[in-house]
Amino acid sequence: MHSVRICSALLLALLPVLLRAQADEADDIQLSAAFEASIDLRVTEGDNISFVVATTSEYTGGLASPYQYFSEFTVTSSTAFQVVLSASDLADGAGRTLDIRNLGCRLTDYGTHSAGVQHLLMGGAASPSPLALLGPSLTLISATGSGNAGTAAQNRFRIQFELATPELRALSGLPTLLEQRIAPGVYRTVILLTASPMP
Amino acid sequence: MQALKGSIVLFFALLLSFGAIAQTDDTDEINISAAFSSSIDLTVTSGDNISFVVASLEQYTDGLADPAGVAYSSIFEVNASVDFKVDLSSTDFTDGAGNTLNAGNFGYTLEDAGTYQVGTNHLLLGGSATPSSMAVLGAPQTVVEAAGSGNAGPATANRFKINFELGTAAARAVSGLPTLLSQNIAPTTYTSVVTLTASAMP
Repeated sequence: MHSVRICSALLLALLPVLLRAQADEADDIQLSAAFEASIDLRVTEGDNISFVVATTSEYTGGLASPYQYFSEFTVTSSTAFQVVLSASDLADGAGRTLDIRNLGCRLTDYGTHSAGVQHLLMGGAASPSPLALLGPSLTLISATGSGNAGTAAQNRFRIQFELATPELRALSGLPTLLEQRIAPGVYRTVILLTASPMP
Repeated sequence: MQALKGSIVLFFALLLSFGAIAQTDDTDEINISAAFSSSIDLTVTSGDNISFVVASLEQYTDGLADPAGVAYSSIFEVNASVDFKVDLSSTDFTDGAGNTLNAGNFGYTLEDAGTYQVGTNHLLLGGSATPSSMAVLGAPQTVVEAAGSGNAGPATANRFKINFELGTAAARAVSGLPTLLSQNIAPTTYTSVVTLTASAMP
């Protein structure tokens, strides 16, 4: 009977503690935010470029125009990026090819990011860039300075293509289209623009 | 409580899986084409007016020619993206008053003046010699045609010289005509147009 009284007294003494333990239950939530690099390149204009070579002056002087033969693309990127152009020889589907070095391009800023500040165009700080030959791997854009991560409005560019002009032939060493004795036909290729994080 | 914890774990698992498929490289395409039509351009660069003056008895009997190939010569060139031939034709020689002069009195030869070579890239009057054999005006004749490795190319490669002569023994040997003296030609000026036409080889 005495021990029962002791136990009862002990329970009464511990009751507030037991009640408190049930009322204050705790658990953890682990919060994290994982950021992967996100890059989105889009050709927004001029995804089909067509040159027509028909006259002697076109065969000897090539084709270029500020109003034709251009594409525009944008890059939305969460990280500093580079853009590489790759293209193979043009083919007519009948076994004949046209050397890709007959084609060249120069690049111009069309967004709010500037060459020399956020990026380089063809490795330089000028916009428009110098003329370059198309080929299997041509780095069009690379990050520099404060970096080029940003929106499409900031990273907007125009590629101006030309075909077998004297300035282009000075780079390629190729003769005129006339001297290349190109069989009449339509020669095609696909130019790939690939944006990736800066190494 | 257990259900709530499960929901929170699932929510963050979903968030993480979205993070795992984020785009790191992106590619887009530009289709580019170059259409080539055949282009042939023939230009007479010098000697587009040739004048013979027959005044002496010697000229009436032996005819006129310039051994130096200057006085009675024309030069033409062809820019061609494809193999081609050149045909020469002429109208009758008339004086505008009803008198005519047989076109067969005029002989001509062709010779290479560009970097392409007869026998390798083309034939001259059907042969592999430069200067070519003699031909006479009259019926249309193919004066240049592609051969061997072909003659598509620029003007510097396809440049040719035509040397005309009138009433010479060589021309008469081809035409079979007698001397100018023997033809009783009325004294006047006879004119004609010689047309050179370049076209793609069939």
